[in-house]
Amino acid sequence: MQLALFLLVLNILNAYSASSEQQILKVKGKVTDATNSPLPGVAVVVKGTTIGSITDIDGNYSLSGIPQNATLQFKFVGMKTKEVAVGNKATIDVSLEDETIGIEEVVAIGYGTAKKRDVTGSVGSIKAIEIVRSNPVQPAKALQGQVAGVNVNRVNSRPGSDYTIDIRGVHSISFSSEPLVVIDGVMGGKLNTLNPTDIETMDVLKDASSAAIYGARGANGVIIITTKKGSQGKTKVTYEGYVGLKVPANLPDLMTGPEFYHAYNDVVKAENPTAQIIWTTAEQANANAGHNVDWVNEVTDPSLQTSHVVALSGGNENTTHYFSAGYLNEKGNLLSTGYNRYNLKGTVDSKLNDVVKVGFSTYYTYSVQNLGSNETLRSAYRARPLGTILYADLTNPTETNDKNVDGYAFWMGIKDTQVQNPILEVRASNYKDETRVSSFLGNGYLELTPLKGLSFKSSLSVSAYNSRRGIFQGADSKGRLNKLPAASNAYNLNTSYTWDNILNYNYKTGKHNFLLTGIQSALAERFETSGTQVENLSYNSDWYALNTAAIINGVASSLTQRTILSFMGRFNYNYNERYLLTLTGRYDGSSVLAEGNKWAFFPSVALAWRAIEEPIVKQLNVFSDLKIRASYGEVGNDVVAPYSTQAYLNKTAYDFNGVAAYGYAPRNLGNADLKWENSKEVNFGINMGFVQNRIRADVEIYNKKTNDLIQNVAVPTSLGYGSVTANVGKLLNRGVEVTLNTVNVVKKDFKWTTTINYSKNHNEVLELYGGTVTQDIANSLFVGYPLRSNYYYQYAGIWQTSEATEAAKYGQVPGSVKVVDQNNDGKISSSTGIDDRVVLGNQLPKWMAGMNNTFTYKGWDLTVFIYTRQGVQFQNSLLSGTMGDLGGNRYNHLNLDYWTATNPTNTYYGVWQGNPYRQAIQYKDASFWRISNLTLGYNLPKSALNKIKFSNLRLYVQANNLKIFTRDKNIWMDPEFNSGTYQDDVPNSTYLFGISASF
Amino acid sequence: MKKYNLRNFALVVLLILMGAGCKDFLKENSISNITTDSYIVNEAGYEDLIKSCYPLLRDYILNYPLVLPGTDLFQAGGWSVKAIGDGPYLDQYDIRFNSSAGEVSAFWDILYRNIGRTNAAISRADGITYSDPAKKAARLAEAKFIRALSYFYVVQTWGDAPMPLTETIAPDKAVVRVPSATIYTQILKDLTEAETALPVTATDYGRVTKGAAQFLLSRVYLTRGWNFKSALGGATTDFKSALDYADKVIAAYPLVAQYKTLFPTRSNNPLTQYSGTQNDRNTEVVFPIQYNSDILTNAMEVPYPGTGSREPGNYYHSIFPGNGELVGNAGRTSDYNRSLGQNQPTPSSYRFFDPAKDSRYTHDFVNAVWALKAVSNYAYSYTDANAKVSYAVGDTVAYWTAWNKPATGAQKGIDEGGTKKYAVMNLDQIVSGVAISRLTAATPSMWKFWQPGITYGDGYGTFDFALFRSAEAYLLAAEAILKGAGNGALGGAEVYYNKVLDRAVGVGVDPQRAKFPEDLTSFETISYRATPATISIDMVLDESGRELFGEFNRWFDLKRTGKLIERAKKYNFWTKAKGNPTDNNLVRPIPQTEIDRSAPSIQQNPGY
Repeated sequence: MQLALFLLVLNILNAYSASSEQQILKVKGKVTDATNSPLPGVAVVVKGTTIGSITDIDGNYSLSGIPQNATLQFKFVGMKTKEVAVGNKATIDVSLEDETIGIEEVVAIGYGTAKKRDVTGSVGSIKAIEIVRSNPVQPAKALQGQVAGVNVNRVNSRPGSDYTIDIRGVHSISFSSEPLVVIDGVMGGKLNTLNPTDIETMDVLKDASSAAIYGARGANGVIIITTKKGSQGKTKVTYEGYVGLKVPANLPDLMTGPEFYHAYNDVVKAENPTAQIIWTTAEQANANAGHNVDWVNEVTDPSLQTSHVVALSGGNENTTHYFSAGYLNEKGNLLSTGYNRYNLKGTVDSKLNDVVKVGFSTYYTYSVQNLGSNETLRSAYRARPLGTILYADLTNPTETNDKNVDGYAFWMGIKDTQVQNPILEVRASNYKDETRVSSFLGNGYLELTPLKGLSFKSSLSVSAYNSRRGIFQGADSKGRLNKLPAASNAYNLNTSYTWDNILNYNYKTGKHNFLLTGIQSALAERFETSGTQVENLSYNSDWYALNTAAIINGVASSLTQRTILSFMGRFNYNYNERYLLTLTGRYDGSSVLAEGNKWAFFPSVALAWRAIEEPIVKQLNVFSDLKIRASYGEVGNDVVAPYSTQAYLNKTAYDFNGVAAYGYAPRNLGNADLKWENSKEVNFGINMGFVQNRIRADVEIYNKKTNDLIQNVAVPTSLGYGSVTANVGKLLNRGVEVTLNTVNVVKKDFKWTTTINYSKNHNEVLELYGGTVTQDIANSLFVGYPLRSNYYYQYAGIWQTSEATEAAKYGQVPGSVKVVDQNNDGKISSSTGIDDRVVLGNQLPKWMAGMNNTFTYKGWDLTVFIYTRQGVQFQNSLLSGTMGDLGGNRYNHLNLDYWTATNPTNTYYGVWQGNPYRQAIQYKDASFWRISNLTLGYNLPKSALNKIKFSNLRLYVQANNLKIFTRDKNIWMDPEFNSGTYQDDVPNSTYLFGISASF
Repeated sequence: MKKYNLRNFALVVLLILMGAGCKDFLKENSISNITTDSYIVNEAGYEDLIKSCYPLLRDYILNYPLVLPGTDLFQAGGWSVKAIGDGPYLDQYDIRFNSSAGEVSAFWDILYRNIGRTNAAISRADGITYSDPAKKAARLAEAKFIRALSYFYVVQTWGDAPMPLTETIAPDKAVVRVPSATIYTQILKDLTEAETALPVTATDYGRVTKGAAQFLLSRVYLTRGWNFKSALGGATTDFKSALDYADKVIAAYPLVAQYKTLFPTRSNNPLTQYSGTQNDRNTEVVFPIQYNSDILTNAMEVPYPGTGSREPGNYYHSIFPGNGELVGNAGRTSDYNRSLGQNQPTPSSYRFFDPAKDSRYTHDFVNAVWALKAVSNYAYSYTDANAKVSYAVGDTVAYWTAWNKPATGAQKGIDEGGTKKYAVMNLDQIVSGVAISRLTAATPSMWKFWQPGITYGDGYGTFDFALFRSAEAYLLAAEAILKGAGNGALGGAEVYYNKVLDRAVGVGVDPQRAKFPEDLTSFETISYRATPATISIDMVLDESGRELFGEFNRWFDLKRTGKLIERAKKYNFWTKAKGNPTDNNLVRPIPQTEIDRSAPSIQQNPGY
């Protein structure tokens, strides 16, 4: 849409500069909107020519040099294009109608596209403008809260980090529930190699009937990425860029020096007056002086985030092209960490003649991710606040055998050698963890249209994802300490090719419209790894001189391959644009399943009725749009690791009297019965429009049953093995998704629109092992409960002093965690029959919602995006780590309201009590609300743009992840992903200034 | 629906046309991995399978938390008279020591993992042809020995237990506990068969030998003879068998002359540290777990592939308390071992030795620490900021008196009003819970297994761990005789006992131990040389405590002899103060993971 407008504007500019053709007619007039307000900036163009003009501030235009029998087109963003035949009118006044979002949109449906109005399944889409709105570093982030039914979660807070995505609930505990990603037709691409700015649309195929065309790989849904392509017209240049700061935000509160000192002096002495607490002279001095060191602050900083993308697009009627180059720099808040990404994209489509069309596209990404030491942040959270930063500030460094490293006190004046000064650990000279990725996606195709309605396309896609991770641990890093440096490298060489042959036949007769699609597809993937690990490098050479190491303690390489062969057919039938039918069938063979179980057939059927086209519905005068859909489909899943069906050997190492004695031991249980996991899904959908589509509501209801669920099942270890990959049972995912778009206010200069999406998914294990059992505790599978359930004793508060006698019956003392004795047998037991553990909750959201409000006033626009996820319960990783373990004074802790005899709280247990069930207090509701994005933008008016020869110029400021609200305060790094402190960065907000321009 | 079937049919036809091409396209053929069925087909493959039965032995002895603490000799944590709240559950045997305790599942998993390997070896033996049938028989016997050893640990730890005897090919969630007596029968069957086929001297040093089988037969018979809760199927004749096998071992494996020869050579002062080669082979070793200096083959196996990595090598030098962080230390080096707060010798344990006469005391405990770095003006007092002390390299910084010679007055450190410019610690001060000054030293290091010159950290030890050595066979024989086996080849129980003692204190020397090791205020002593009149099970246990201190056996010895609760409550200060072990604690809880993974669930032991 935007592209079309850009082109048009270019054409208009062209018209101004070129000496005009034969002047025959002259027309003027005024363009207004539905409320009769004048519309400035409307493009008025003579259809099929380059003659055109733009309305002025009062909506007036005038056009001369119009050929006879011409038709005028009036185009404006967000309005329906209107065409008026000139005839012999000299004045043409026009009123434009709002274009309702999505009605004529085209969406990807897998191996083709369809008008959204003709879609029979459940497809959610976001367009370029929504994708880049909050300037996500990774494309996955763009989907968060924007498409109902899609659950997107960040993995950690480190720069360049990934996201997990699941669509309509998860299907597995041990295997990925990640949807299939198809990038410009290339299956299995990695989302994080793309620059969001290069993406035109992201279409999410949610129901099985939509995904069935991807049969084998569609079980978890499909995300189809269509990158930007060129279109006809003069070459256009666009620039998108921003620069800003990423600021640590919403951090948990730690004990300060005085609080820490208090917790372990006063509190412990209150328990036991003779207890002795030993501080070093340095710590005692800091405590006496009231000093406090915020170690987290010492190793983090607000950091730069910036991105720049330049794109060229254009073409003539036969050939179009699109090129872009992008650069992204996301620094970590943790010092010396960051992510740099470079993208190059090229796409050319060329029509050689009426029969032959060819094209290719390439997408190249190069990225460098520096993560620094896994240990830095954890050390910063652990280090006692009574520590000393500088060596010179230590009164007697020999007391703690402290070491002066570049002026810093290595042991911080603390007599503990588990945590060292994090300021040294964070230094790149001391620890590097660098991953370089070189990723290539390429696609070339040949399309033949020998007859009208008949086309054949053969497409070859190649993907190469090469990465190298290098780790260097310097002599002063935590992992080494008084040892020479260690280093390792690991190379991955992942390649795949997909060969698709697609036959399309479109036939129209009267009101009948048929489209037949036949596809044959072959996919081969290979994953190669190779790595070396060494110790005791004689000089600091990162991982570039591993051969100089004294010890080579690890060398490994591997090759893993998988293939899928598929035959598919799709039949679309459309009667009078009202009754729509889609039939799909796919026959898939997968290499990773057992012999005899490799092949499976996945059919689907979908029906849609565009009821709005019926006169009787129109006459109701209730709906401005109404479409009702129903579908049924089956999809399969073969996400298991290759080679799971056979028993393999593992190399073992031993020696006999110093002589190497390598052996081979059985490694795994092969599962010769492994077969397809199969899902059957029914989907009902209704698309409604009211008040001239100012209110649009889409509702989807689905019910998806998965059979032969594939899991990595933990088996009794007395068998000699830990787990086996097996088909274990049946699973239900049932839910509802609502998307609401409203135009709340439309005034002359002011407009307010709201988009809300809401989704609720019910996940439930229906059957296990053929109905033989109702629970499999080891694998956290419980019939009647969701996957990823938390199973443990139920928290019942803290034993209070008044309950000492009862506590003693359970072998407990006041101040310790009380759990529910479910069967009231007087003891807490996890034995079968008297098991007091229960399902406490689960790690899947009960519901999610996103709400976006956009206000526009003249050239200004303001967007507020709020996102929420509700009902997730995690075993909180801060409380379960050392940050919540108040029992010792070795490490610093969260500033928690802990129990003492004089503070009889139920919030947190006492400092000294043995707490056999303290895990029970760690299960916390991770529901949150997040103000995800706030953007204020200004679009320069057309008049100003014309002067500077720009077709578009927008300036904006924005804040991302501004604030997060949770039930329990001060226990989360980020409730979205239950982050700990190891291998992580601090949570943050970003503040950006951006420019978007084209000319 | 008709349409579908047609389509389906058409696709199938298409497929058939594609023919063999498709079939090959989807065939899985891993290049990186080899299947069990295609590799274990000949002598070479079978040799590799047998070799794979050995490495996990290194992991067995890492399960020391179930063997050392909670006994009369070791505690899981430092105890003090001021201790409040709960101590280590391994010593207290309280509700926290339940089925979820990681110590329990770790041992269970590793034992059954190796049983799985030996089962594969035993199950696949029939299909393998060796050029030398005797060699094949020996290999099969090695697997049987290792399976028997594993089940012996299983049955001692948990009692009735699952007993798979064939290779697991397909998963089965039904796990059935087999009666202990049946397991003992199987162990003895495997061992007896192994003993017949095994060579006296193995083709490679470190493999199982006839002697190893005889040693284990002795211990298994002895254990069955005691017949724990009358459930092992034992009989008094078992003691005779135990004695016979012990005699065979004693005859074939003579004791070395000096106790310290059995362990790494070292100097007590790191400043003059020994840096020569180490010799871990000697006549006394019956079955050694192998370690070496090649980081690749000294590697530890991890519980399950992909669950993390471990440091390679022997851990035993670093699993006992140390004093690496005293004033004047050299930082994180292995000069004085590490300060792991685990496997603390109980305060009683020192008092079982004669510090002056028993070479084992001298070898096992550090009594002085020297400054390895100069320290100037160290403010040692908590109260007087001007009280300072300086050390030059080589100065003493800490000294522990022998339990029977506590220091007083001028003999004490300057922090206690004495003249020594270092901490002088008496045994009772170690448990007082009072830190006198910043000079206060912790428990004296137990460095029996300590090896100089290796990397700081867990692991890295290269010295073999003697799982069986013949000194123990003497004590097994003494015990068997005391239980009615009749005299052995050397004579009565006291003869066997004194043979071990003689090596430690010298022939005819009369060593004195505390008469009441549990009472730190009592300095009354008693001889621990045995006579026919004094020899008793407790004396044998005292001696095995001294001789095999920290070697992977204590909990099993105490359980076997029915002395665990009595002796732990008497000598282990945590158990004494806060523990309440009952008969239920004589078997460990079945791991929760096994209960949760099995269907129907495996039965838990009573009391857990």
